[in-house]
Amino acid sequence: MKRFIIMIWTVLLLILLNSCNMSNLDFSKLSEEANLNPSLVAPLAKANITGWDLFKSAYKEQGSNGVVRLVYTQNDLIKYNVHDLMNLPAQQKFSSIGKELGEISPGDVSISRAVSLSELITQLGGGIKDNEQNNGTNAIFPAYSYTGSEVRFSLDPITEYTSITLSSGTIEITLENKLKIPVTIIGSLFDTGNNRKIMDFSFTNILSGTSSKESLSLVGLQLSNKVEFRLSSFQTPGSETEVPINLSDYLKVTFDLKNLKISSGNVMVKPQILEATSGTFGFVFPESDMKAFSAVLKKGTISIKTVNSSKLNGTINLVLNEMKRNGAAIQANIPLNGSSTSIDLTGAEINFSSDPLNPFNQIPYTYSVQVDNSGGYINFASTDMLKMDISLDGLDFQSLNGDFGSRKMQIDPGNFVLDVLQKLGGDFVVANPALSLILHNSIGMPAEVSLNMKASSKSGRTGTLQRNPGSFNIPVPADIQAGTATATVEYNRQNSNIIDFMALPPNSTISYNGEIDFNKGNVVTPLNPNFLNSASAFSIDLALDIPMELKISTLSFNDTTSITGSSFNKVESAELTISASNGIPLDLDMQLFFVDTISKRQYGTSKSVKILSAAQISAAGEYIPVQSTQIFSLDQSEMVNLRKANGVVFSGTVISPAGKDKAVSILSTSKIDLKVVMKSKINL
Amino acid sequence: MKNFQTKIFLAVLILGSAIPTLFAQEIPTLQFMKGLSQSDLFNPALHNDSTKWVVGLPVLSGANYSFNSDFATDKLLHKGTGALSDSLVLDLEKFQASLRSSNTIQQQFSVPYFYLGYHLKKSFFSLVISEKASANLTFNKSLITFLKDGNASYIGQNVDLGNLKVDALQYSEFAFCYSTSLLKDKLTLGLRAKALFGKFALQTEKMDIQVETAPDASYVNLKSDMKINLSAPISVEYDQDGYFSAMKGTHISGVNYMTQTGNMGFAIDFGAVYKLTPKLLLSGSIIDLGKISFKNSVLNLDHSSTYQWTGIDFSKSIDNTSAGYIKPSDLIDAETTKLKDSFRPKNTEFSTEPFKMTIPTKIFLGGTYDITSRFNMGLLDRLYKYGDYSQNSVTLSANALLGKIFSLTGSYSMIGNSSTNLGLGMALRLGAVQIYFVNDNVLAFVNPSNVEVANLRFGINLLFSGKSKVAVN
Repeated sequence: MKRFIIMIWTVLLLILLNSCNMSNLDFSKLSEEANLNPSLVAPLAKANITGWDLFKSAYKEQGSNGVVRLVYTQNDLIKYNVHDLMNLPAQQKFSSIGKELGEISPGDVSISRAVSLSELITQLGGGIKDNEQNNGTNAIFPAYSYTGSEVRFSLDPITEYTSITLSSGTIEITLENKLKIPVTIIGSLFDTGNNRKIMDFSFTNILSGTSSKESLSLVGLQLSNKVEFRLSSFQTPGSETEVPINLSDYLKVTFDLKNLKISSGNVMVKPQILEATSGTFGFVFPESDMKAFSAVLKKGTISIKTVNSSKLNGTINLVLNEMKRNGAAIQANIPLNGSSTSIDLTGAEINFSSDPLNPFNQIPYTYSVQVDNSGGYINFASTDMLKMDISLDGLDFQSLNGDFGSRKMQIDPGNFVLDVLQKLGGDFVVANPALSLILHNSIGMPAEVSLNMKASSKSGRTGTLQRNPGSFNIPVPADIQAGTATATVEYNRQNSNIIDFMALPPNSTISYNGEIDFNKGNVVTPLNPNFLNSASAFSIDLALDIPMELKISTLSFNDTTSITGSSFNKVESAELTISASNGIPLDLDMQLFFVDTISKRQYGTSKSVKILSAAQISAAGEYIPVQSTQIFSLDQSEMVNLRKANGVVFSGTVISPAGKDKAVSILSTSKIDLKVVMKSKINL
Repeated sequence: MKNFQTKIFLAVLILGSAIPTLFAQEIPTLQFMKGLSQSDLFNPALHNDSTKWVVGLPVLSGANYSFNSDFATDKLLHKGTGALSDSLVLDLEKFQASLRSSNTIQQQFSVPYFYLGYHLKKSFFSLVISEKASANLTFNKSLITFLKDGNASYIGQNVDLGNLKVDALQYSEFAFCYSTSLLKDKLTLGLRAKALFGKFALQTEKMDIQVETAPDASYVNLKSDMKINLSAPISVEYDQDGYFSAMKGTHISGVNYMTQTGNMGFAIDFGAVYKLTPKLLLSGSIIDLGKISFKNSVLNLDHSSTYQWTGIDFSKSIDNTSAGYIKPSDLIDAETTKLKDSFRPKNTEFSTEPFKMTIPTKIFLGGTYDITSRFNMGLLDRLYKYGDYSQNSVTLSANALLGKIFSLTGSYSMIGNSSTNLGLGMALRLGAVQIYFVNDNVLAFVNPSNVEVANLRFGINLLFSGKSKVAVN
């Protein structure tokens, strides 16, 4: 019995233990799929946006009438500065200005000889000798006449020179009669050095106690410094009464050489200033038609060096009367010994037009030569040459005034991008666009600008923006102090085809090129010059004003947002309920495209749904918001496509109920109040 | 003596092949099982065996596991169909349909450390040390319905997802029992006093969650209100803003954890058995009437939060050229942070106040009628109460003693809302060693996923007396 019970017990236990079915609790076989499909409803998003918010652009502005405007500006669309327009020289070298020294003056020379009665008695002999015994007494001076051989009376040597050739000068001979009787003499001045008579002279009936002068020209004479007085005739009528007879009484002959100009010789040069000389430097500009009237230098230097073939010492005093610095003419004292002198020209003002016959590009100069004392006898010739080498270096023009000539410049092709238009397409017209070119010019040079602007649409249509008139003049400042002149040239609906141009619509890029014609038809005079300064520039800014007053047939836009499609793996379907209050009188339809942004493949699309209903427009033109509720749904097949994608293209189509005949303004204050509720079925 | 030594040898031999349980949780089928000492688990005055000495061995003397649920597992997880026929699928639809308005999953576990029992004339003494743990999860059907259906069906309504309740408890129990017979053995009274030492406790005073969806779905409100008490070796960390950031375990050795005495409690068991007639026996008892005060390693959280989701406001995220532009990803991040911060507790919401936790209390009322001296029929009503949760079961049993060594009991129980529980109990006495096996629902072995009740007690008793005596009640 006991064994039977044990056996029954054991069998029952084994049956119980082996019958345990744990397969339904084997969690290693737990499937990842769960039969769990809750439907969730929750607000997804909301937005209170205005017309202002609709435009993703850094260029939007609010117009005075509240309309949103896209104002694209591009500063310096075109810009040229002075150095782009013309080349100004930084250096000028002038040909050596050579000059003959010309005559110099030894100064006035005066030599004299007193011949006493005693000496006359000794040299002449004859009846005059009778006076010898009456010396110291009163007696009748007998009449006398001598016409024998010349009697020589020596003179002191001339110290101013040893020999000279005179190009000009006079000799004044003075006879002073200190005898007691009138005399008549004939004599000559004799150059003993050259052994030739210089000149004859005579004095007739010179009364006692008087003097008489005679002047003669010395032009062309060669003289040595050794001369003597030769008496060839002496006559006197004597005295009628007794006169005191003094053997010391004399005749004095003085020879004064005046205003001597030596063309050559061996002279002792005294300090003197040689005759001034003047001339002009011709300034050379790279542009051959450049005619400068005046200029101010920002910086520069003038270097001058002499080339002197004579033995003279001294300096050249150079004056550039029409080149002034701080109001004073540029002057330089340049030694004749060949060393160079430099002068800073910073701030120097140059008048290129002082010569009425040649009123441009000329720099006049004058110079004189200051000769120093030679300290001894030097050989001199008036044909000795004196030259100056002049160099203007490091020139930087602060300003320039003149006739810059006619020239044409091509505007470098370029383009500007309109960001909003990148995403817009469709059939719409901007009712009142305007393109403004803001011209800034500080170059005093009139010019005419021809600017071409082109654009093409996404569909390949092209258009050119045309204006009447097509070209325009740039503003010119009144004078160089007037700064920058500004003017605006507008392309609007009245004077251009800008409406059609913007209606392409441009595929975001507008290209331009053109030409600038300077001094076209402009008569330039010193009273109406061209001018510029170093900072002068010409630039054109562009402003494209697109007010959002649209005549719309259809306006489309696309915006792509990146997504992670796998994020929607658990979503079986989704339904978006969009409640909107739309204050803008435009309908909006939306369709989604599920794309792969890398391969550009499109997996599918959603249905197109009207998201917004257009606001109504009252008789007074006010916008009356319209409330609407729309459902945008994605079914299972559309969700499959969404999961494959890494991007969603929101493709919107804007439609104006008023059609293309009436412009709809998008006011910055118009409101769109949007609420999106999502109802989705989740598959966990 | 030789008999005695043989019984000891067999006992040690069997120990290595079995996991006996002496003092595990009650299984109703066991209460009137003949010849099994464990009947005093239900009633300290009820002794179905009068062996003089009863010894239980530490740990090896068995562990008990009991699982009760208001729904069968296969309502939630079951084999799929078609391609999923070999997989387990989560079937929330079926699960939700099987739920009641309030549902509880209950688990209990115990491991005995030591037992010593001694019969002396009309009295009985015992000393028991054991480790016990229990866990309850209670949730409302509305929570599952909401998870299954989503909130689309509740537009314009404030849905109360009910009070989600999670309670867990672990404690050591030191129990001393005394019973004695009176009125000429017609009445037996028993009392068991228990000193309880709490190790871990998680008490959910409230965890209320509500979801409100606006009539036009323009907003969804999430509200939560929770008060939770915790006693465990953990510490809380906060971020620089004072929000809860992490919970980390503090280092404590296993020995210190298991021998901590800072969280003390007390419970009593009381029972009475009255022999109305020689064939009719009535019994009643209250088991585990008591609570534990948790004072050590305590953390309280009292947190209320409300979060309203109105959708992402993209008003400033349209035009990326404007000065106030906010990136959509930043908006989403900000909203996510707001959501997290709404439900993340702040340091001001934490405290360290002691709290009390009751232990599961059982009330038994029942009786047996002897058909023969070795066969009786029993009827037992058991009320199980743990916090707000209560469960009643009724067990009809047929208890037989075959020879002197084999006890066999069959039972039918309605436990809670489960009415398909056929229990089986068997005990085989071989000398001083008694091997037994009891459970309330044999079907749980056949298809455990299809039952709401599953329990098992399997163990070995070492019985020593001068003469083997099986009390026939």
